[in-house]
Amino acid sequence: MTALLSIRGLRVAYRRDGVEVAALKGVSLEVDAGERLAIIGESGSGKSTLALAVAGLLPGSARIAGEIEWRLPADAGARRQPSHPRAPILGRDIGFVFQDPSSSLDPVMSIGKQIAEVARTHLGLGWRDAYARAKTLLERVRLPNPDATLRAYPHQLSGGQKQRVAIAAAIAAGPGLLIADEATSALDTIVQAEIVTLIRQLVAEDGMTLLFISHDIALAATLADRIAVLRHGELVELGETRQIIETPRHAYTSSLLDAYLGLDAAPLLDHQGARA
Amino acid sequence: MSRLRRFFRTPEAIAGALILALLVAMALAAPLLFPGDPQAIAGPALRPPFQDWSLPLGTDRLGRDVLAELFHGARTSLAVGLAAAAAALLIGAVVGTLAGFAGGLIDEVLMRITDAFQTVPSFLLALAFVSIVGPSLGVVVAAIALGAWTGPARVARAEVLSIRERDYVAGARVIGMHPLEIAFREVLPNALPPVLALSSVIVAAAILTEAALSFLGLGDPNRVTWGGMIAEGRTVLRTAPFLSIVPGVALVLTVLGVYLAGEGVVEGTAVRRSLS
Amino acid sequence: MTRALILIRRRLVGSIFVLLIVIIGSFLLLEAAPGDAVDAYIVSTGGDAGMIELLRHRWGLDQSELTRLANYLWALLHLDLGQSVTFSRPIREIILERLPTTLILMGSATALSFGLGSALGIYAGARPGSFRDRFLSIGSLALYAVPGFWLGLVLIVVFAVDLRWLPIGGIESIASGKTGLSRVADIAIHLVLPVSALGFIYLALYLRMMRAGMAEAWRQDFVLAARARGLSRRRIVLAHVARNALLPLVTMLGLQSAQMLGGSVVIESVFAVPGLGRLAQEAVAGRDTPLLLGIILTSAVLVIVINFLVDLAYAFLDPRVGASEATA
Repeated sequence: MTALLSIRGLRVAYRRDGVEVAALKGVSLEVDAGERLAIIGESGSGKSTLALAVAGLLPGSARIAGEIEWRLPADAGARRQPSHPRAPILGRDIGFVFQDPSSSLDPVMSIGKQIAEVARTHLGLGWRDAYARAKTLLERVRLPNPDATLRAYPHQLSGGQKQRVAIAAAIAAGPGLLIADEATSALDTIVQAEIVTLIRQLVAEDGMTLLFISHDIALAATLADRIAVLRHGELVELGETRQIIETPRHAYTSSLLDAYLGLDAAPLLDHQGARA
Repeated sequence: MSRLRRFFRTPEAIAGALILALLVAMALAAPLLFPGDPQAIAGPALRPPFQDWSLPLGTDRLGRDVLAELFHGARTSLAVGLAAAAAALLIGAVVGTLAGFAGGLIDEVLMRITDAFQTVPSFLLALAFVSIVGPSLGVVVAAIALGAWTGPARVARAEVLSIRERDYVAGARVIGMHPLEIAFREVLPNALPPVLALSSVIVAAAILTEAALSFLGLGDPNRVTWGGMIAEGRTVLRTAPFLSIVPGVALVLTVLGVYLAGEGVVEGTAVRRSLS
Repeated sequence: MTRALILIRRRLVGSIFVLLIVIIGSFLLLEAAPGDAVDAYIVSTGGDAGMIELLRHRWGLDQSELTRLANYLWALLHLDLGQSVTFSRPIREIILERLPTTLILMGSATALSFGLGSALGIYAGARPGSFRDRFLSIGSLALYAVPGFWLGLVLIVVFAVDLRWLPIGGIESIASGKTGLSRVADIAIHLVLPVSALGFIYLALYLRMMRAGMAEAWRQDFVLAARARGLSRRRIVLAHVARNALLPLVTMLGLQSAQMLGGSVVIESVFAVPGLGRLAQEAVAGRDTPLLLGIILTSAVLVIVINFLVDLAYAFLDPRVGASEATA
């Protein structure tokens, strides 16, 4: 397995009103091509910062140290082989899905146009072909009535539907890496499961590498090959999913697992005679 | 004291404050530096500026000292600007609070009246008012306030609508406070800050409106006004353009100073909001 | 289309109320004026006490206030605005004569201020905090501080007196007998300075609004998402940020129409343009209160119509408007 992405000693600090706040304090890990890696942590753990750093979307005021090394496959049909490894192009090599579907879409532009413009930008398609591709993508993300949806506006869709659109836009140019930053956290539980299923399917179909960021370790476990646990900006544990879930090595990972209540957990209260 | 320091953060605020200080100094010093009637004849007519040091800015068509007129004109502009703004803010705050607090029919009626005052161009209204009642300083102030109160009224009403749902208002009701008392002792003081944020804009507009009214001959005939000076200079525009240009520059600098100082205040309070 | 109809219906009802209040207010102002139409008439034509009483009776001015208000409303319903004292002609006629000129002036000035203002605002807002941003910010503030009539005079001094490129005033060359295209060109040349004076003042407003709107839009999450999709900076600025920032400006267009009508009074006076604004100044000079109030009523109607059109345009531009009602 070749490593697509090598992160070494990554440090990120934000400047807020003159004070520097460290978000990542030296994180190192490797992501293999085609693998599905989940990055788990609570708020403040730095998991979103890691995702943004990988994508190159950190604000200009952020201070970054350390290395992020990419080994991207050469473009199929490229006229020249690059002499040195090239940097990833957002949209083309990396697809990013944000947490809040309501705010990741432009409210005054039609759904179809927002997906089509990505295809146009990276694949050099004309508008007509780009719209056709957008329609195909809407079908792939299982949105009913693709023709009507193309002309619809974000406010006319539900949260789950909007997130599907966001995913469609993220993969419109066929990126090799998909980063889902808390992509399900703003959705209802049932919709969450649907979106996770969708992501799993799309990733498998296109052979994409997946970085799934979440605070929900159980949800991530249904999707990921490996899990990385972050706490206060540091990598606390990294391993195969099965090993992490069944035999966590770090106390923090254990507490994360304990905090999760599954339906097969023993009831906490004895409801005999007591009415809620 | 820290609030003052915050205000002086931007160079714009400092410039604005300086200009305003200069203006206030001019207005206050006018009767001291140029005692007597500024409209009295001080020298030969149409003397150009910078020639005679007893008449630094020259004389106008009738031989009046331009510099003396400039200083005395500052008094009028400042007085009208501040008085009209105060009146507009007062009327607007009262109307807005009543409308927002009372709700129902009173709110509807007051809002329609506000709409009516906003539909008629405020300058035309001022024109008609001064024309009918007669030009004097008080009438000019009232005329300008008649057009300017609607902005504060809407802001006040919006604030009151959100404030009146809060706990301390309910508490006052429970004690048995009379609604009018609640409206003006509890609610209005808390609704004031956004209303006061409009004050610099209103002062600036008032100064400009007063100048326009004076230009058209509707200013107080017993007072020197910059607008009146510009109108006078118009008759000799070809031969002595400085007579119209100088008071205009004074107006621009004054209004600019008001805007800059106003923005400085807004910046200062905005910073405070983001920190808390 | 249903969205538009819902808006129309709602607006129409509200506007009628507002207009009614304006009319009653105008009537009250008319009453407050010292002397009435008969006094003004007598001043110019002369007459004795008996004549005064006769005229008062003939014109219904000796009746109660309420009756006079009813008469006033009845006349307005027939679009009769009364008689002008200074011109001795029906007010409606005079206003209709002067209205087109003002509309052309306002329309051109609005196009200038909105078009150039938003373009410069986009230019400034594309790179917040840059030199051109700060320069345009301060510059527009200074421009906004300029009195319109003074700017008009300065333009006259520079372009008409010193450089002699453009005419000093009026709407067209007097008694030149031009027709057709050359007449249009003549009028256009005469309008350059007044439109510039009126337009430059409000240009500052749109520039600042667009700039602020862009700054606000840049902070929106969908901008980050657009960057994440790899869209070019140019596309993000124009197709997304500017498009979103444009919306509040369109609303401002409606609100500005009232202010611009007021501004046209001084501009038309300075440039001797025979429009509605100049007419207002003439009415003031001639103490012609009925004419002045007729102009106010016309302005109110104009502002209502313009606001209504602007709201329609806004509904067209923002797909979120009226959505909840239209789908119900």
